[in-house]
Amino acid sequence: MQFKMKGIIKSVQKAPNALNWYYCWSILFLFVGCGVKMNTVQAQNTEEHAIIDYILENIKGKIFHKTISTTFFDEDLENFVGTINFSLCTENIDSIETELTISEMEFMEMGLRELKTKKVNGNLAKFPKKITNKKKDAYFISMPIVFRNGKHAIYYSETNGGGQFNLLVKKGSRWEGSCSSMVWIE
Amino acid sequence: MKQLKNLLFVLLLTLLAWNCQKEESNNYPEPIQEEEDNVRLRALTIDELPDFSSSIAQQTSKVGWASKNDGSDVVLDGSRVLAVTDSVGNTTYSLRMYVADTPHNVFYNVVAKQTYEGVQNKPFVLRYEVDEDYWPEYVAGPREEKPFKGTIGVYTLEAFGLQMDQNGKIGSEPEPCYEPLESDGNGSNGNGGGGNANNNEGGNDNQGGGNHDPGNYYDYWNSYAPDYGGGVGAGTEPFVEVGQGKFGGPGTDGILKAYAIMGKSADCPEEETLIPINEEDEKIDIDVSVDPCVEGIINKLKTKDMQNLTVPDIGQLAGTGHLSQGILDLFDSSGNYNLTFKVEQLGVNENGDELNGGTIPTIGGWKIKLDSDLVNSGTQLSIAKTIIHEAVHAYIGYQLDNYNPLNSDVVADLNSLYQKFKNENNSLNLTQHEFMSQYVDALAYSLAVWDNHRLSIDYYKMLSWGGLESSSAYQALNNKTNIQNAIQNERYNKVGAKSTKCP
Repeated sequence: MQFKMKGIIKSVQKAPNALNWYYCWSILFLFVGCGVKMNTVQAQNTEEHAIIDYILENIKGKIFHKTISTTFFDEDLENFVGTINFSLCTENIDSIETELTISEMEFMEMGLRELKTKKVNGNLAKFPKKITNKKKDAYFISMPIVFRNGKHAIYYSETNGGGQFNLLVKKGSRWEGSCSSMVWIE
Repeated sequence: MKQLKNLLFVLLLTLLAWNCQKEESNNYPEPIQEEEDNVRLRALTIDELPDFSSSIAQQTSKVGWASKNDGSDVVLDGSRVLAVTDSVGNTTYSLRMYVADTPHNVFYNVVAKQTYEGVQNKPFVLRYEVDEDYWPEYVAGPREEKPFKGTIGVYTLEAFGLQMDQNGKIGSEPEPCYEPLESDGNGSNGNGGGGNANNNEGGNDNQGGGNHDPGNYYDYWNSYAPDYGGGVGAGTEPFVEVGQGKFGGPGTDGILKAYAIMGKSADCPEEETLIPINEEDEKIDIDVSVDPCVEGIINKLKTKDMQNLTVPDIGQLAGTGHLSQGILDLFDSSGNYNLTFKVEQLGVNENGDELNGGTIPTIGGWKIKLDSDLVNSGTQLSIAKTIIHEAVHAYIGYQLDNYNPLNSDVVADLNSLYQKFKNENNSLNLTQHEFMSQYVDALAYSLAVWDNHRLSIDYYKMLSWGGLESSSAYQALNNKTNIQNAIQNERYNKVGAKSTKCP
């Protein structure tokens, strides 16, 4: 009887310890999880910033200070994912890279659907002189969508006479434009 | 305990056996339905069907073979003959017949049956008139979901030939085989039947004349059969609607779908027949926003040049092709791509310039948007010029979509231009317009054909530079002011305009 009582007391004493450990692990996992997610978001933001810097660096003229999420005709960009055609650029890029898989197209559709208007200036870009708040002669861009593990990205751009998707490839640490696909033309 | 386990095992086996039996007993016979496999549908060309071709020739020598842009009043299109073979081996052939001034919701087929014994029956004509209210749905398809609804008229092929004069023009509307029957108006299924038959041996009495709607109301035309290959477009053809019956007889599910027609003339079809509807494969879709005047401009741009024929080249008697006609014909005959025209307010761009038109890729084609301000305030010449310009953009898209490195000069040329402009902000706009600037003469000629060569070719050239101002060829021109004046005159119907607005 005495032996039994000792056992019960021990298990009661152990229980809160186990419970504490349980909580500790959960919180730890939560932190790790959040950390991984934050890192992913941060990495994505870093790539987006790098892409916008690349565009600003190479642009002739100025970019409008807010990104866009629809075409001039107010049509949703996601509707044009199925029409993407990079066949004009066989000299610039491997043909495998120009073709989007079904899952990539789905990802692209989702990304374009969720595009938000963001301010290009501020901490997003290193080239403030290439940003304008005047629409006349401005170059309009959407936020880029990074895919294929950060190796490729697509963004939409628009000028007075048309709009196009632009495919970018990351070579080393630098982004480079490789091809365009028409969305509309005047 | 062991006994209990055994008992449980036995119980499980019993339950399994009982379930199997139950499943078997549920296998009651389904209602008899004709299986799709019993019907074989193919798309062929008339060249593959000498018997069908000669049986048509026996009926009429006046009706010629051509595409619908031929310019004659009645032409047969042998490029896509649908052939349906039933389980016995009887085959029905159906090809498109184009008749001038046919309403948009009407199309004709020439149909003939070849029995399993190889006997070729006399060909006849079916006139399909889709219900006007249903037309937008019907056009939108797909046929699996939007079957034919409307009236079907039956004619002898001879009747069409007889109505044609020596110039190939139809003098009067051919007489139908059957007397029109009263439609039930709502296309209700499974009723009617022989009770409505008009035992009128004369058959051609149209009760008051003028009413040549001999058809009978169908809202159902039986089955669909996929193309099993062979002939043109093997494996890529859309679903085709196939009717079965004695012109109103029961459908493949055994239900009588429409009123039977009787009282026919001797030349009209009698036997029960499978009939594939060879509907017009219209790949150029004109949106309801396009008014009849603009629709007329589009349709005229599709026609060949009938004035500049180089006699005695017989091959050109049907007219000389030109840019817009070739492009629109390309889309019209394309099995894979649609071209849609739409009119809407396109507004002004960020620089305050009005947009006249735009070309936008869609899934399975391209959409050409014309600015409503252009349509309302521009001359017809300005509208035609814009349509030609946008059609070329669609053509470039078509070429890129069908890119083949081995045989595409167009893509190779575009590719080399793209290399020049790829670092520009609007690289594709510059590439395409630079490409087009090489063909201003062709754009101008197309415009001249549309305008019946009324003005000098130089004037059409000036207008054709519109939209190509970014090109290096335009920049090098000396008469830019004159060009812009001509463009603006036509765009806003100014005093100097040489064309007129749509009424």
